[in-house]
This record gives sequence, C-alpha cells and structure tokens, in this order.
Amino acid sequence: MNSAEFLAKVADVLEYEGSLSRGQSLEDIEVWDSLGILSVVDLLEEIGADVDIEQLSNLVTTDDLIAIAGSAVSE
Amino acid sequence: MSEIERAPRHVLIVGASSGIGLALAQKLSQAAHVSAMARRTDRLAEIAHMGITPVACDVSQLDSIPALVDEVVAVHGKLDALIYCAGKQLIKPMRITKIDEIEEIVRVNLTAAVVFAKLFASAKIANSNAAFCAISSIAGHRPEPAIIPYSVSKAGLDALVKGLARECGPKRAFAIAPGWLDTEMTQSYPQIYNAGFQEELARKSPAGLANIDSVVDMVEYLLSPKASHITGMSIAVDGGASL
Ligand SMILES: NC(=O)c1ccc[n+]([C@@H]2O[C@H](COP(=O)([O-])OP(=O)(O)OC[C@H]3O[C@@H](n4cnc5c(N)ncnc54)[C@H](OP(=O)(O)O)[C@@H]3O)[C@@H](O)[C@H]2O)c1
Repeated sequence: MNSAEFLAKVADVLEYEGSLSRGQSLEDIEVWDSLGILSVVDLLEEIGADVDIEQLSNLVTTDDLIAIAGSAVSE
Repeated sequence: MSEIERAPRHVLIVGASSGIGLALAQKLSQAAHVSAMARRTDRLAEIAHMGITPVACDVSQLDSIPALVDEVVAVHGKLDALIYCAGKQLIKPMRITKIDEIEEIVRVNLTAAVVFAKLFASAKIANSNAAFCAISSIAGHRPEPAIIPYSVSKAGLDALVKGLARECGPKRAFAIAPGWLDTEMTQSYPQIYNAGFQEELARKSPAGLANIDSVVDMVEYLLSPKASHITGMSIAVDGGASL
C-alpha cells in the first residue's frame, strides 16, 4: 500500500470528510480524538503494524502516522 | 443448615482455562469437585492433577451446552455452584465495529450464559441451595466508550442474575463486576492496556488496584454460608475505580 492509499484508509476509519494529505497537522483534524485514535490503532493492527495508543497520541503530522505504519506503507 | 451442608460439593466453572476462571478452579477444588469447561483443553489438562475434571466446550456452540452439562451432572452429581467466567473483550469504536463481532461478543458473554442459567434453573441439574455466579464487569454498570457491545453483554448478565434470583429461589444468583484486571484478556490489547493505562488506573483506584485474588475471594465469600442471604446483586470489585 502506498502512502496515499494509507491516508485514504485513515480518512475512512476516522470518517473524515475530505482527503488527508502528507504533512497535514493531526491537531487540525477534528476527528483525531480518543475514538479516532482507537480506530487508527485498529487499522494499523489490520495492516500488521503494532502501535501503542500512547505513541499515536504523541504524533504531530500525517507524515508521522505514515512513518509509524512502517513497512506496511511504501513511500 | 450447617456450614458443611451448605458448602459447595460440585462446582461447574465455565471458562476455566485462564485468568479468573482458572484461579477459581484452583481455589475451589481444594474443597469441592470442580468440573472445568473451556476450548483450550491443553490448559485444562494442566489442572487435571488437582482432581479437576476437564470438559471441552465452545460456549458459542449453544446447542452443544445441554448435553455437556447433563454429562458432568451424571458423573459428578447435581451442581452446588455454576460459575460463568467465559468472556471475550472487544475494544473498538462503534462506527467501525462489525456486525459479526457484535454477534460473537453477545453470544459468548451473554447468550451462552443464559443457556447455562436455564439449565441451572432445573432441579435435575442444580441442588435447591445452589448458587449461580456470573463474572460480569463494571462496564455493565458504567459503559466506557469503545467497549459498548461488551458493556451491553455484561449489563445483560446483571439482569440475568436478578431475574434468576427472583424466579429460582432459594437457589441464589449473583454477579461479580471486576474492574480492569491483569489477565490474558487485557494483555491481548497491549496497545491500550499499557503501562500508562495501568498507572492511571492505579491513580483512580482509591482502595488500590484489584486483582484476580480480589475476585476469587469475593466469589468464595458469596458461595459460602456466610452469604446465604445475598442474591440478585452485581458486586463491583474494582478498588473503587468506577466511583
Ligand atoms: N480482565 C479484566 O479486566 C476483566 C474485567 C471485568 C470482567 N472480566 C471478565 O472476567 C471473565 C474472565 O476473563 P479473564 O479476565 O480471566 O480473561 P481470560 O484469561 O481471557 O479468560 C477468558 C476465559 O473465557 C473462556 N472462553 C472465551 N471464549 C470461550 C468460548 N467460546 N467457549 C468457552 N470458553 C470460552 C476462555 O477459555 P478458552 O479460550 O480456552 O475457550 C478463558 O477460560 C470474562 O467474562 C471477562 O469479561 C475481566
């Protein structure tokens, strides 16, 4: 999966209206709240990336999210 | 009635291969015959040397339950206690929860428990002074976000024991509602049940973190003659975390 496809999946689980782009600040995404983070934990688990909820809470941009997904997401 | 007459002699524990159910099987087998049900029979085999009878059972196969219960009763006598510990957790926001996940949580945590309760209600299965104990959860009293189907199933257990207590007296029925405990169930969510979560939980528990022993002690008390007038209740064992 490439990063655009990954961000589309993230937008989908967050039920974010619109598309997410690289470098976008997570703080500006209204649905990036505790339930949103849990939804992304579930997505990351599904694609084989094991990530701790605290790690996710500390991310700043969508680029950090892509980085944390590791080898499951190509550039 | 003397304490000896009231002490359980045959206890059926459903979901006895790990966690609370396993600890209960080990403790209660010191004074009673324990029949232990679960899917992981290799785990049950490890406690067979304690005189515990292992019984392979997948509670989600509801139709298989009556014959299995009939068989343990035929071999070891009517039940004096039936403890329903089998349970599954699901931590997911509602909007991404799948229908088959909801169905499975409710089936394992609640529907199967109702089937066991139905059998317990029969005089052919359980003695007139027998007790039914369900391991519920504080989530049934105070549902948390992202564990709603689980909470619903546990609230159902609380209603089950209330109804059972009313319909089947003098048989008793009660539920224990633990808070978060360190067992395989919580360990299976390491992304959520991490060190930070546990520290926060300890901070929010005025009487200190509850553990498996706290639950086992409460079950033992409720099964004892000392609790012979306690029925229909769901009792929180959570160090006060849900207050
Ligand atoms: N740990 C907590 O924080 C916590 C808090 C409140 C309430 N509880 C409740 O406590 C009970 C015991 O959980 P635990 O914490 O001790 O976790 P656990 O170690 O995971 O135990 C769960 C037990 O349920 C059995 N089980 C699950 N699905 C089953 C099925 N389809 N058929 C038969 N048995 C099944 C498992 O056996 P097999 O996998 O071998 O079948 C196992 O023996 C559960 O009802 C849980 O909801 C736990």
